[in-house]
Order: sequence, then C-alpha cells, then structure tokens
Amino acid sequence: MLTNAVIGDNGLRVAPGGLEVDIRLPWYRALPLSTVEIGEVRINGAVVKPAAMRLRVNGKDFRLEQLENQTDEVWFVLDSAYLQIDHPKPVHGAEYLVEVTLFLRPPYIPGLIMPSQGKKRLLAN
Amino acid sequence: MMANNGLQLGTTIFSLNNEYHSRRYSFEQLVTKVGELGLGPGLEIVGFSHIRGFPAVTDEFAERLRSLLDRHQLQASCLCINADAYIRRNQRMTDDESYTYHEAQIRAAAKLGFPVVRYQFLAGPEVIRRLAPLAEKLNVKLGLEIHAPERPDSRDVLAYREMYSKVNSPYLGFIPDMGASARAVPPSLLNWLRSDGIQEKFIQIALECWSLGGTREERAAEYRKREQAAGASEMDIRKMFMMFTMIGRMEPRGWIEIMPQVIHIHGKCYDFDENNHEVAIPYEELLPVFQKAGYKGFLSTEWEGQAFNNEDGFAKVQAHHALCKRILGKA
Repeated sequence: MLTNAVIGDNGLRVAPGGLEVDIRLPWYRALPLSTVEIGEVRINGAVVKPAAMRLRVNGKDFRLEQLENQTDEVWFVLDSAYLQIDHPKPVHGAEYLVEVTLFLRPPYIPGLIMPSQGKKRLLAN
Repeated sequence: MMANNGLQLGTTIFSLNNEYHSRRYSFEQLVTKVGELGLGPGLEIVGFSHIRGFPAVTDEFAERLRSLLDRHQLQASCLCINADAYIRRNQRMTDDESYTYHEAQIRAAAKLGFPVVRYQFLAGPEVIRRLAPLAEKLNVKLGLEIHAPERPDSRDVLAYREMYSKVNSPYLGFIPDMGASARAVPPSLLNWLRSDGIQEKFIQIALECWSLGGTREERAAEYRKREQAAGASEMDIRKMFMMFTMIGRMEPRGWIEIMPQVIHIHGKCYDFDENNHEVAIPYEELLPVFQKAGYKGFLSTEWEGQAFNNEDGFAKVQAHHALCKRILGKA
C-alpha cells in the first residue's frame, strides 16, 4: 500500500534558507521524472508557492516546472528525493506539519493521473 | 522440481512490494526468503522495480542474481518489462522508439537468463511483430499479459492473436492474469474503499452492478447510472470503478482458446478465508483448466492485496502456494 508512502520517516531537516523534506516515490517501480508532478505542499497549513520549491533527485536540483521535461532522469523506487522549501527562519528541533501531494502519470497507463498524499508531523533535524 | 504435470509454481517479487518499498528487505533478502520458504521454483521480477538502472544490467548484477538463484534452487521464470509509451507526457513514443525501448529490455532478460518477458498492450502488435526475430535469436519468449478488463476475446487481444497467427512463432505468447476470472470482488479492495471514506450504500450498489448480467460495458454503464441516482460523488464513482477494471468475471474455461500460446501465468490473489480458499478467484476451477490442457510452464503467485493493505506478503504467497498445491494434488 504505497499511496500514503509519500513522506519519509524522520523526513524533515533544516537546510540553508529553508526546510528539506524526504519524499518517496509512491509507486512500485522507478519512473522518469517527466511523469512526476509535485502538487500542493503545505507547511503548518500554509500553501507553499511552487516557485519556492526545488526537487533534488539523484543529487540534481530541479525547479518544479522543469520536471516535465526530464525524460531521461529516473527516480529509482528505493531512493528518496528531497523537496527543498524556502522557509524563513526554520527552527532546529521544532515540529512542523508537512503535507505533500504528488501526481504520477505512469507512462504505460495512458490517461491515469494517480494522486498520492502525505501528511506528517515531523521534527526538523 | 515438479515436472509431473508441467505446471510449476513460483513467486513474483512484485507480491512483496511493501516489504521492499519500505526498505525492510533488500531485493537480495526478498529472493533469499522466497527460497528459504520454498516459494519457488519460479522466480519472477520486475525490471524497473528490482534493477537499478534498468534496462541497463551490469555484469555484476547478472552474476549476483545467478548465484542467488543457484543458492536457493530457484529458476528465473519471467521478467516484467514495460511499454512506457508516454515518458513524454503529451507525445507518444514512435514505433521505432518503442522497438528500441523494448529491445533493451529483452536483451536484459537474455543476459539475466529469463526465458520469458511479460510485455504490455501499449507495445502494439506491429512493434512486437518486428521484435519476434530478436526474441528468437536471444531465446526469450514475449508474453502479452492479459489482465482484467481484457480477456482472450476482447478486441485488443484479438489484434495480437491475428498478428500471432500470421507470424506463427513459438516466441510469441500470452500471460493470463487470473484476476480476469474472478467470482467476487476481493474484500481487501472493498475494505480499502471503506477506509477511504466511501459510504457502504455506494459500495453495495457497485457490488450489485459488478454481479449483473450483460457485458462489462453494460454493467459499468448501469453502475454509473445507479450511483449517480443515489447521490455518489464523481470522485467516489471513479475510485470504485476499479472493481470493473481490475476484477474480471470471465469463466475459467475462457482461457482454453489461447491455451497453446500460454507461456506463463500470473497467479493473482488477494484474500484467503479460514479454509484457505482464495475468496475472489476460483483457483479450484482455474488450475484444472490449465492442468487438463497440458499447460507447461510457471504460475507466479502475485499477491495484489499489497496495493490495499500492509499485511505480510510472505504469508499471503505461502497461503496461495498451499492452496495451489492442494488443488494440483501436490500437498
């Protein structure tokens, strides 16, 4: 049951200029990044603007609007990706309510847009 | 080895998705435990799940898999490959691109010693026709998975059957998925819909429609009509529609017409009752159909319940093996 497996355990840390969330691919197999879309993200209930986020996959950073064109960059099923979120004054040890929605378009199932949502209270490491 | 009747059991590691995705078991640990629990001899894997970098396969991985299989007396049965036609969201792969995409995966199967690949509808009959000589050269059979809502006599399958009859190659075949021959909707799927907050009255309407006469299209249309009349939301209607796509109602004997071309079987399963019968899929009827027709090959246990709950995948595969062995007279 992978549809809820979006946010990794202990998946929040303070990063320069913001927060970084460990996210998992909620699918059973690797997918090209072109089939992954980051939907609504909230921190403590407040919606984060897409321009304030980047996704790090395979050690490379992508703006969210760049994902659609990443046909050769593959997110392997066991790997975490890291959603970097601009956030003023992130606090070590503080608890944050993190909500992430992902949409997957499995490239072998035309027309399917599979939503997955994660919602966790996490301590920022 | 269970060579007496030609139907051999096995496991697809896909059944153990939760154990794998949660990182509780590595791929090697899953294969090891499948071997230790006697859930072979066939071992099926999913290229894009279990091999980092697939369809590229390193010599090191190939050697590691070979020694794992040897150590646990398992046999490579089937490699699942994918027809990822929409890697570009809005532009389908051309046939030439699809050919190349499949070729790499079939070469991976050959390198790993898999005698069969499972391929998908989206490949298209023309691309598969072009790949037949390669399959023959590499000694890897290409099997189209026939999964609900498809069945041997549905339009898309007939297009492949027509092409197969023209090419007439033993390297082109079919992989029936037993979920196309269910007698009921699996409880695990229903419980998942309930846990998603869908009201029982809407679920009962869906179940009534699933059991109606007529074609699947007629049942689905009636389902939509009745749910809308009862006030179900569009979202709920879409979620429950899974019953009509994932769970087929074909008579077990429906597989007979393609039997000579069956090269592998997906032993789809969900839930087991107190007597260890599969609640939704009539294995007591299905297995004898294949057995009597002289099917020779593997049946991979594929526990799909992992999509709906986090129960122990190994225990479910064990239950399915016990059921199959009892039916096949091997208990």
